[in-house]
Amino acid sequence: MMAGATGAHAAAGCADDGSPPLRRRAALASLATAAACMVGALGGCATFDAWPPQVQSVAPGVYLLPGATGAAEPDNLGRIGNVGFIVGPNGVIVIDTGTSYAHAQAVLAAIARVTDRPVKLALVTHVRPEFVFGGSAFRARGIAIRMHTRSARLMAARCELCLKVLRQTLGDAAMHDTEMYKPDQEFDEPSHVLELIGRPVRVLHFGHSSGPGDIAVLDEQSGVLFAGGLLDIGRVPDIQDSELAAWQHALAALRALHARVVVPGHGAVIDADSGIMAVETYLRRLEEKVRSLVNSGASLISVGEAAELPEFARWDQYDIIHRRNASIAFLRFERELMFKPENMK
Amino acid sequence: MTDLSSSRRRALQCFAAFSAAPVVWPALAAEGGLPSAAHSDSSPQWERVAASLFAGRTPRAGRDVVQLHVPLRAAYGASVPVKVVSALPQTPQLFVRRMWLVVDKNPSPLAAVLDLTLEVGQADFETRLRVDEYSHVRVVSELSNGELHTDSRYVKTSGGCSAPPNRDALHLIGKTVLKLPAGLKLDQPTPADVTVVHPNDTGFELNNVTVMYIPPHFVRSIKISYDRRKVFNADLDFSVSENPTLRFNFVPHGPGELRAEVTDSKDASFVGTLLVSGAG
Repeated sequence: MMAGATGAHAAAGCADDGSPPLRRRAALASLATAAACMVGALGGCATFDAWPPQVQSVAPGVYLLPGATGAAEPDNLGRIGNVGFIVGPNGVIVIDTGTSYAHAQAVLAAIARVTDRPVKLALVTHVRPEFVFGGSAFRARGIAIRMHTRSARLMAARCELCLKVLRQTLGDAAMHDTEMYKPDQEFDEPSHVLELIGRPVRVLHFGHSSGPGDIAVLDEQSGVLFAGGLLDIGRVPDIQDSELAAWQHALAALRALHARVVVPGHGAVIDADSGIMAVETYLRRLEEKVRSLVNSGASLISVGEAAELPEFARWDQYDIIHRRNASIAFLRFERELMFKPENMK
Repeated sequence: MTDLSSSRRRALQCFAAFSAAPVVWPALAAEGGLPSAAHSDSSPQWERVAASLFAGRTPRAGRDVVQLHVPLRAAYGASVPVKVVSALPQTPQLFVRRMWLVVDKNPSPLAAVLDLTLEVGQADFETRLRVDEYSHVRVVSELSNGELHTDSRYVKTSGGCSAPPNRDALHLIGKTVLKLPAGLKLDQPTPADVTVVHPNDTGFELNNVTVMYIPPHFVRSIKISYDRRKVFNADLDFSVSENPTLRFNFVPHGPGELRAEVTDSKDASFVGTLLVSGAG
């Protein structure tokens, strides 16, 4: 429903690089989208009635194919992650690859409806199935996949199992031709600009934050920031791969970019300040709550119930991810206590 | 428009193809740690384990002698807290002499075997287990009269992708810490925690920095005594989570030393002790 509303200014065939008035209008429209979705996110903004969702224009030459809400399941074909793309004079950079070979094919078809410029590169922001496993379709078309070295290693270390689990969840039909792969390009440097498409695209890495090799991608021309795993909007962020303190620092660094709008890994487009603040607040409240449980001698078995944070209960995946986050945080803080010098005598 | 409608058609074909695919997760039993019906909760893995452990004897399913508790709903698969509660106290007339913890779908399903004495007082235990896939987790209790009782829960872990194993504080491997979380209760079952700092590596995980297999390295046994009397011995496997921890009971009749003797799969031995004073 809400996706239909945001699709009202969807841009199949819209101009790649608009004149200033058009650009301003698009920016206003995307802010309106953001505002609608800030409300709507609570009620499931990103739900869509049928695949594929319409391409949303975020700014001139910057587009989003929104992921479905919920966990990966047969009904949504597991296509729960956002996929973005930036169109420059010389080509297209895609941000994240989707869930499966079929998903990535649908993404490439959607891009082809917007522009006839060639897709030059796909960037993987973080190592989660819904961002990684479309890679095989890109590679089959000769499009290089680029990710941080730490992401490549994490993927090599665990994604065989992730893929097996996802195949079991979604079925072989939904996952046909979806395979493990090694990225074509890896990088180590913290931040750099890609000039590949005739439009500067900045890749930002803040060290091990929400995940070891997590990156954000800034389209310098429009000020649109693709935040990948650093921001989920209207959905509980997953702390499994994170370093919590470093994540908070990375969020502060994101704020300092003064991006105009943010496309999160999951959830709707939002203005940068609101989006960053929402995730900062969640991470802080999670830490406060779970530290107090550890300090009070609570048992891990009770943590799911004891760590409730009602103010976030309407976020997507609260029942699953928040409970898991609480367990993970509990184990980490408990370990911290165990390794304190006074406990190690 | 033709584009859209053709892609809709493709999507519909896709859904149709899926619905024709075999269902992967059979609805074997209640999910998420809810009680599972005694007669419908078996698995091939469990049949094999039971056949090798109990040689034809069938443990009686029910909750009147032993109960297994796991968290409701989704759990974090790397460390699923499980709690075993026994209905009866340990008395010379009737006591729990052995307990087995089993995770059906794990590569090595038998997670722990506990060899108990009367010194336990009350045969309740808590630990944390790895549960790689959706799986039944089971406890079997053998009483001193030879009866076997069992209870199980279906654990639905969430996540699919495991977190990168934690590799800090390797120099502390084997550090063994004992604690009395509720203080001392003279002549009564007194809860105690033993925790061993140990990666408890399964041998199935890849290091996410080197992308090499981490060799198996895990705690094999923990022997607990109080005042030089055996409380229980635990034989453990890598289904027990990183930094293995056990909450158990013992009955102190006066001051003494609570002692944990630990060995791991590389034949390293570690000892942890806690001096318990009668004053509590």
